[in-house]
Amino acid sequence: MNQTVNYNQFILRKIHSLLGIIPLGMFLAVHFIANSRVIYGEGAFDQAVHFLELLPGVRLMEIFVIAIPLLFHGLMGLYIAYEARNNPKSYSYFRNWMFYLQRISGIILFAFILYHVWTVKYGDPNLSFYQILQAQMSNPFILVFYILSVTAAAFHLCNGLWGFAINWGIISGARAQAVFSKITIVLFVIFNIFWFRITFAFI
Amino acid sequence: MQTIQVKVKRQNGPQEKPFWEEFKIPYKSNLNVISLLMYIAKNPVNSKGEKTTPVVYESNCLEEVCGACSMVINGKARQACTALVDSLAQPITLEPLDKFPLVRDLFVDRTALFDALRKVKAWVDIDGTFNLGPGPKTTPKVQEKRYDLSRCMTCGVCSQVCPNYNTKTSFIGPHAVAQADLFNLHPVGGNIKEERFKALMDKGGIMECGNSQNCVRACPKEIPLTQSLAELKRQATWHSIKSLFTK
Repeated sequence: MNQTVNYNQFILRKIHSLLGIIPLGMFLAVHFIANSRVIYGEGAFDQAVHFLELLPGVRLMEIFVIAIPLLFHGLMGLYIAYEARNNPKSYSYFRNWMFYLQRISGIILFAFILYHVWTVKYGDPNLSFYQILQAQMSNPFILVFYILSVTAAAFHLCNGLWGFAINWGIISGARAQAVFSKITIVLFVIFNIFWFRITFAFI
Repeated sequence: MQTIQVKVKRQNGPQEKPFWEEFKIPYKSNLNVISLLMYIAKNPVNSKGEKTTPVVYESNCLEEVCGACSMVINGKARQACTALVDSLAQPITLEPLDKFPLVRDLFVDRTALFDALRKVKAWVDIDGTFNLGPGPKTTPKVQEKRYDLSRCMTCGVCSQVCPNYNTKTSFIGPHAVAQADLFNLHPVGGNIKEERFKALMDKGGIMECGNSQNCVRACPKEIPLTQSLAELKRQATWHSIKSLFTK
């Protein structure tokens, strides 16, 4: 039998799982916490943006903590989604639907993040982020896209947290997995309410 | 006369086109799907009254311990021997497992499942030229855990229902991971643990599991497959990290 071991898939998938939480999940949480300033109005939001822009090493962080992990996680994720032969209709178990939705939400997020970064971060330099976002969300189609993507992001993160706990063997028992599954659903609901509140503050 | 309606997805060979054939079988109580197929073999006439060939299928033990009669019954992968006609909606549809190469009708080639067991060395390595004496003792706790895992009959249902077990991937299947766990937990079998970890970290290994957890829901022997998957994901990770620092 062939003795050489090809560790590529093992390592790539472990890294994919890890990056989803550290740093991407953490970044997402910080992103929404910072943006929650918008609840207090345009001035407060601009201040928060300004504060983040002035952090030392912010450009390096953008590249190494956000852009590269995001690109890796996204591309590897698309490959994983491509590989699956989904069957939630034949086997409509809760976890099988979650498996399917994890892939669907990932694809939505890949498209959304490209759009979001392209139009906001690299959008019209004469407009503030607040002005760009407000203009985007005055269009009902883009608003629906934002709402859908925010939901997808909350779902992908919470369900991904569950997957991460298993992929790294943190939670292995059937009972523990079921309990943690319920915890991540509660987390999803909380995140979604909070993140919707922030999204609607731009309207 | 009360009849049982059966629809079988048939295919005369791997390269042939599949087609559906219907059968009407006189009702008797307490029949299973194997007895329907035996009736068709004895009397190969379809519901239109045309003479046809007997439906090809595999079966051995008829008591859900051999794993040979796995097929897709009313859309769900399971054993034909324990699929009782009285509890099935009609028409009863019978399809071959579609994750394995088809031989004919409901008969598929499950060699891949056994190749996966060979890959993870699902055995106790004791071959020698002299008597090694009795092995070390196992605790009842480990025995109980191993008993659950030892019920696997390599039927292929877990792989059939797994979204990540398909022609695009090289995933070895949930059963092989549970069997690696079974033999790692054996006091002598555990001697080649590292080799099993290597196999599980190879292409098609344990991380190609995507946690859909269909396997544990579909397993006819109620084997805690997802527990083995999570535990070996942890063990393989620690093993690889440890070997980074100690080799």
